[in-house]
Parts: sequence; C-alpha cells; structure tokens
Amino acid sequence: MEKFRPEIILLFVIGYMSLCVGIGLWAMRRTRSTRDFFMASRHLGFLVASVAVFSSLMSGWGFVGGPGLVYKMGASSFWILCAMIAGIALAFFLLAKRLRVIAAVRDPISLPDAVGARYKSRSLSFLTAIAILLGVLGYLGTQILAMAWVLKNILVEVAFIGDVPLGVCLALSSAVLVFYCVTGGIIASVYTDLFQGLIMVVAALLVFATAIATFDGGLTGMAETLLADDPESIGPWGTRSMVCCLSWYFLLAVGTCGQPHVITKFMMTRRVDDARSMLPVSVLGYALSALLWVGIGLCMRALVVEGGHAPLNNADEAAPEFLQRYAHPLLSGVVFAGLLSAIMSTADGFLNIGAAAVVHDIPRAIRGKSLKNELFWARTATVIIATVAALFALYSGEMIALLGVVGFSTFAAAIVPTVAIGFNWKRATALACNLAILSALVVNYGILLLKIRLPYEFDGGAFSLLVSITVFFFVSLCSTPRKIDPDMEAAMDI
Amino acid sequence: MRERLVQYGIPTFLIAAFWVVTLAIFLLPEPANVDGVAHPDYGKEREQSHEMARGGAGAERHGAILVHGWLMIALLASAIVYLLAWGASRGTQSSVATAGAGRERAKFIGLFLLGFLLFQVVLAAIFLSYRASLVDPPNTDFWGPLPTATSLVFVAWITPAFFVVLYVIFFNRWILSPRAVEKFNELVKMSRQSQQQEDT
Repeated sequence: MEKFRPEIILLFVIGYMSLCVGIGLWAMRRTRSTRDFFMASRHLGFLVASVAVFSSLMSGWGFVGGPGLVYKMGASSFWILCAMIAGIALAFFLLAKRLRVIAAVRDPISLPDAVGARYKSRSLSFLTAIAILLGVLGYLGTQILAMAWVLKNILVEVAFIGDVPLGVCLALSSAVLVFYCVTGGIIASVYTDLFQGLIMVVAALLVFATAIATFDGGLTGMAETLLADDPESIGPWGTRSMVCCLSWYFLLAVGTCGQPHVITKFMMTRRVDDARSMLPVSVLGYALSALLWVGIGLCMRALVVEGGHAPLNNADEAAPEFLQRYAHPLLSGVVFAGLLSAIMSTADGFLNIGAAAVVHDIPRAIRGKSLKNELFWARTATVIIATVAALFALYSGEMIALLGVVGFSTFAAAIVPTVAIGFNWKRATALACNLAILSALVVNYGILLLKIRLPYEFDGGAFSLLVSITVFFFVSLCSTPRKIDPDMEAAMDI
Repeated sequence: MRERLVQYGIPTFLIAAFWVVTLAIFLLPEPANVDGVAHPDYGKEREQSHEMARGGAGAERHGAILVHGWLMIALLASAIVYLLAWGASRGTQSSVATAGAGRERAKFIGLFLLGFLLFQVVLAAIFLSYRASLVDPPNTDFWGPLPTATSLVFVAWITPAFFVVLYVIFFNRWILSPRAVEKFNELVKMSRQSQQQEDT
C-alpha cells in the first residue's frame, strides 16, 4: 500500500471533490432566490450551522499554516488556539440570539443589510460592505493559493502526472469551489461545511494520535527534545515575544465575533434557541480540529531538531511532509481531503459574503434598491470574485500572504464595534461606526503597506482593533444616536 | 447610578487601562532579539533557506516586562468576562433583568465572578511558573507532557468552557427566557403583518 501512497491520496481527493460537486448540484435545486442563495432561507438545523461555524473559522491557515507556525516558532502560535474558545463563546454570547432575532424581524440577507437596518445609515452599510470586500479579497486569495499548492504537492508525487504548473492546479481546485458556490450558494456552502467539518475532526484526531506515536516518548519526548535544544521554544511564548503572543490572543478572542463568514450563520438557523445547542458543538469541533495544529507542528520541529528529518525549506511544508512521510497512506488520503476541506469551508463562506457585498449591499447603499435578477448577478459575482482573487493570488507575489494576514484583523476591527457591540448597545451611533471602520482600515493597511513594526512585535491587526474599539466607544459617547426604529429597538431588547 | 457605572465606567476603565499598559510596554527599551533569532542549525542564516527560529535567553527577553504582560492579559481577561456577562444579561426580558430578580441576579453575578477568578488565577499561574522556569530553563518542571507554564496555556485555552457551560445551562433563564420568546413571537407577528400591509 505504501507503493501506492500518492495514488491513494489522489483518489481520496478526487472522491472528496466529487462529493462537493454532488452537494452543489443538490443545493442548486433548493436555491431559487437570493434569500436561498445568501441566507439558506433561514432553515439550517443546529448541527449544520454549528459545524459550519467552526469549520469556517478553522481555515486552511489552521491546517497548513498552523503546523508551520509551530515548526517555525514553537509554542507561540498556541496563543492563537488558546483564544478561540473565548472567541467563539464571545460571538455566541453577544450575537447568536441578537442576529437571529433581527433576522426574523427585518429579513436581512447580509450583514451590511442588518447594519443598515440597525443604524438607519446607508453610508455605514456601504462602508461595512467595502470593509468586507477588502477582507474577502485578501483572505480568499490566500485560501485559493493554499488550495493550489496542496493540489500541486499531491499531483507531483503521482508518477503518471508529475509536476503540474501552479496556475493549472489553481484553476482545477478553484473550479470545484466555484461550481458548488455558484450552483448552490450558501446552502451548498454550509452542507459542504458539514461534511468538511466532520472530515477535519476525524483527520485531526487520527493525525494527533499518529504524531504522538511517531515520536519516541510521545508528546513528552517531543517537549524534552525541544527543551534541550531551546527552552524558550517550548515555553509558553515560544520564540516570539510575549507581547506578540498576547496581542494575538486579544485579536483572536475579541476579533472572532467580527468575522462575517462566521456570524452571518447565526442569521440562518431555523430557530432562535438553536444557539444553545450550537455553542458547545462549535467549541468542541474547533478544539478537536486544532489538535492537528499542535501535533504535527511539535512533531516536525522535534524530528528536525533530533536529526530524524531533514530541515524544511519552508515552514508550511510541515503538514504535507508529515503526511507524506509518517502517516499511513489511507490516513494521508483522509487528511489531505481534510486539508482541502479546511480551505474550502472558509473560502466558500467568503465567496458568498463577497458576492452579497458586490451585488446586494453596495448597489442598495448607492441606489437605495436591489438589482433586478439579483440571483443571476449573485452567481456572476461569485465567479468574478473568485477569478479576481485567484489572479491576485497568482501574480501579486508576497502581497497575497500579507493581505491574507490582515484579512482577519480587517474584519475584526471593522465589524466588532459596529455589530458585536453596536447591536447590543443603543448608545452606539452611525458616526462612531463609520469612524471606527475608517480608522480600522487606515491603521491596518497603513501598518501593512508602510511595513511598520510595532514595539515588542505587538500585532498590527490587534493594534487596529484596539484603535477602532476606542474610537467607536468614545465617539458614541460624544455623539447623539439617531432614533432606532421601534421594531429594531424591540429586537435589541429581547 | 450603578447601571451607569457598569455600562460606562467599566468599559472606560478597561479601554483606558489597556492603552496605558500597551503604551508603557511600547516605551520600555526593547532587548535585542526579543522576537527570537534564526536557529543556528536550521534557521535562515545558513546557506539553505531553512526556516526555524529560536527564542534565546528568556530572562533577557521577558524579564523586564513580565508584570506588564501579566497586567495586559489580566485586563484582557476582565474585558472578555465583562463582555460575556453583558451579552448574557442584555435582554430586558432576561430573568436577571426583571424586577424582583434579586436571587437570580446574585447567582448570575456569583457565577460570572467565579469564572472571572478562575480565568485570572490560570493566567497568573502561567506568568508565575514561567518566571520560576527562568532560574534554570533547561531543567524546568513539567506538568503532564509539557513544561508547566506551557501546560497552563492549554488550561487557559479550556477555561472559557466554564462560560460555555453557563450558556447551555442557563440559556432559558438568562439569554432567552420564556418571556423573551413571547416577545419575540409577538415581534415576528407584527413584522409579518406590516410586511403584508406594505405588499398590499
């Protein structure tokens, strides 16, 4: 079976992608309106919704980038994981009920729609849509590029295929993603998320067990090896500065409730009390799928340090190398499918909210009304956004990785004050939200483009979140809120 | 007065304090290699582009900012618990908010205070055990499979699960009480009626 490892992996990947296509076709029959396309007509069961929540959060970055970060910087990235249970809990406490109630009252089909209804401000709705679009393009580009690299790594090992150009891999992998997103919209997205989430959990558990078994002495053996080489690497901060780790914790714990591809799922559930069952499932799913991040990362670093594996030229090779060299071929097949699942489960959410921003939110903010044949334009926009993101990913060089990094923080800094806090706080004003979003974009992209390094490696995205929350809070206190519509006010009181 | 303190005073204090600590950190002289160096064997300084970093001397990197770091995470944990409690008690139909809800409110505050204390103790323990490990880093104590301070990071990871449990157990009292459900159903009915009127 070892002889056929590459072919087995390829079979699993083909099987997985075929399933995605099948789900896309199934969902297409259930997608007849933009309400179906963007909000699944608010008919999601709690299990589908909760798996969609955590699988959207655990992107390819978590399955590829995460182990790479542990390989590169030891325990530093554990603070990102550490923040997520707090982050998911915050999202539910602040928004799960609130957004679902508002969804029932005003029937928004996107987050900017809900923002416009709350603040009675088209400019704010427009700005929120722009922030979402900017975050989506950067984040989506990295996901698409990651997908292409994973596929390239798989195909190069198959004797009868060999090295396939990155552009071709990108086209192949994106084609599947775009197909099910165009045909089935958010319905296809969440049902593939369900399937993808389950694969991710199973894959992570099996890989974690394999990583423990691979290294002599298991987790303790890895820790002792790393301690002997560099005590700081296995200390609580890893090789990065303590302040960097703590700023990541801040950004991820508070910023999760500003991730639009996650919180829009709260508006899609069948019942308003589904949140009670969703939260523990989402938390458990994320915690289990994070085991892959910890297991592979520590194992690969320890293997290289003790001389059991050649050093990696690129930290992101940690996960693929581990799967190619140490995992059973069948497990490798499952995990590579899990890898693609992790990437696609996030990318499909981005495509959907990006299409909503382009086709629904921005036209409504400018013209005051929706486009005709909105469903047709939503599908068209999905293809265009994917194409733009893919081209950007292929030709922008280092910029795509940087934009991907600021994607999370762009969403966080723009949406946390406006939505997570503002939807619960009647004192919040449209002016404060507009200024918060603008300050978030200026600070975030300013730090990125000017290559500013904050003292002690304090994360730039975390800094922009701090600035935007501060601006939002104090400007709200100093400005007069508009009268909230009675039904919105009642929704905020529930 | 108490409500204004909770609604405005606490957030103002938390935001201001966070800024003070952050700026204090920014103003401290930064030691060399605070964010690690290339690993001498597997890092980028060698000809091959290997990618692994090394932390170096912990006491040198973090010794001077341990207290600042602890203050930062303590404030952050306080903000998180505050937001969780605020989110849980927001609804006017919540059993915590209604008149005569003294006992329920006391239970609510008590449980969130307990969660807050748990969180703070775990986070403080990370810093204390890290500080202890700086005495003899290569021979640091282990707790379970990892060094004590690192194991405690994973304890900090699951500590918020306490609030997840509260959410599930008290959902029908704090988050969405029967009265809130009634109000919600009324609101949906009114919304549908006004939508029908608009359509006709």
